[in-house]
Amino acid sequence: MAIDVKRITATLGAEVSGVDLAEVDADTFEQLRKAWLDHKVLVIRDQHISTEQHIAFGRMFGDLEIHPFATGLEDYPEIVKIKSTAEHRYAASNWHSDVTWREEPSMGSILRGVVIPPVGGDTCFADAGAAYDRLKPEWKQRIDPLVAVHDFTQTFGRRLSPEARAEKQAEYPPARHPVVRTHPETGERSIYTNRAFVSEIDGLSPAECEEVLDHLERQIMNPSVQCRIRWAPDTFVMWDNRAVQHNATNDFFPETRHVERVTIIGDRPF
Amino acid sequence: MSITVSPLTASIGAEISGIDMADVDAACRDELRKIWMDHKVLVLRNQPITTEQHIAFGRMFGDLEEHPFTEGIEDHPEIVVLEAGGDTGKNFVAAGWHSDVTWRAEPSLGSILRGVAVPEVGGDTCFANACEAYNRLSDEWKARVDELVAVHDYTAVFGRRVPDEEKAATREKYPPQRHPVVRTHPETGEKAIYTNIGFTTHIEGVSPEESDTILRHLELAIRNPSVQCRVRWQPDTFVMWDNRSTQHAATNDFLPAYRRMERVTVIGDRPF
Repeated sequence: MAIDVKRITATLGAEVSGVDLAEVDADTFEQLRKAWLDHKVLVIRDQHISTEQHIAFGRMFGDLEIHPFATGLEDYPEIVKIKSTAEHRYAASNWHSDVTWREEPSMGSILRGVVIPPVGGDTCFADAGAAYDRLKPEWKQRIDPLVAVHDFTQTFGRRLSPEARAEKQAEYPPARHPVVRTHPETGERSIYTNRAFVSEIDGLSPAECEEVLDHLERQIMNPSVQCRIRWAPDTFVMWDNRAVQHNATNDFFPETRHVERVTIIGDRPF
Repeated sequence: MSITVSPLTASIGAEISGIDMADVDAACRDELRKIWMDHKVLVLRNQPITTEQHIAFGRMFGDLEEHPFTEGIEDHPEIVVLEAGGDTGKNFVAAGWHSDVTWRAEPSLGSILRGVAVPEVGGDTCFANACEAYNRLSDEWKARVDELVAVHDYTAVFGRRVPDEEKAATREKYPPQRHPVVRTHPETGEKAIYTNIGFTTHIEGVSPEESDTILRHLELAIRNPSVQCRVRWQPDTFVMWDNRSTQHAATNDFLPAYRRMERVTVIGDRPF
């Protein structure tokens, strides 16, 4: 069965139809994998599958990680549950790629809409390759050789007691990744810094680091390299963490929004 | 006629159906105006109206300006043509965040833009709720910017389009304008960020470094996806936005494809 792929913008993102995530055969998997590499963000709607099927679909693309700081589902540690309610308001409303503080950060994430407000709570995605391409040659030259330090503490550290924090820091020491990474499958170069996790850039003063992070974040913030996805229950969005950054909007408070993610382990950025 | 309103996000924008722009009476206009103030950006699809009807629809909301620096249509000076790509030889797209014609003494109330030639994908327009962007500023930042005045000037964006022999006269006709950094909406009373990187040259009474710091901080507040919506165009899609409470950025991802839009711009009052 041929899947149908409709682009959302001229840069990234596509809506995919003609696929049942409960029954993905080898041929469909190959089509999906190619479409994913081409479009970086795929939206697949009305998939009434079980949690086991969500996990099984993720495993087709690689091993799944267990997130040390996020809430999981009982019996399903591979599922990251992201739930915001009137009492506990939360959305990852900053530009980032998932778990870049790991030695081997995520290849991709597959997120499911579970409870979605009537309006609001969209997710925006930015093409980090297009953002890099649009840099001036002087800026490319300046950042091409740089290495950044990624650290979970400024984002997830706040949730931990000092003791737990020290323990987790020993387990997950800061990771060093190139500021510009090369996609291991497409060869495309992309911006790989984000404000959520980067604490410093090797060899730069704090002021220079701030200048570089600010400039690169502004490239990611350009609507011309973005797409915006509106959710519904049982909408699945899969994105390539090696090629895009994303930002969950927090315009929907105090409504409830509940989404669930599986996160595919990637390789060491180069 | 019954108007249906489907919000696009929790912050800004709505799709409107149940309306024929060729046939809007005063009651319908009043209802639409109220919906416009509530949602700030309205999207009306499949409106195959004439250019005259586009102009007449705009006039229901106020007088229309004639833009001194952009191309119009013969016999219809109220229409601003925005086109790029294809055989035009033009690649300029207003891809920076801005509100329209803030360099005027009395900038625009609102703009009503029609999709004429729209690429198959790409060329979306993003809108930001400048009131919500202001509301989300910290109390310290609000106190810092509330009483400031900024200077707006067309020259950085449009100066190159003015022939040398007309530059002096144009400068005299459209001198730099002073507007509050935070304006109050004359109809809703909401406060909104009213600086933009395209037209705001500096903030009065502070050092250039301080001015730059403030303008960049306010721009970041606008560049927050949580206060934005994104509109995809089709031919005969019309989008009307309130220039007093929103900013917008067109995307330039579609080049080299051809994109043509036509705008009428409703004149507003002096910001306060």
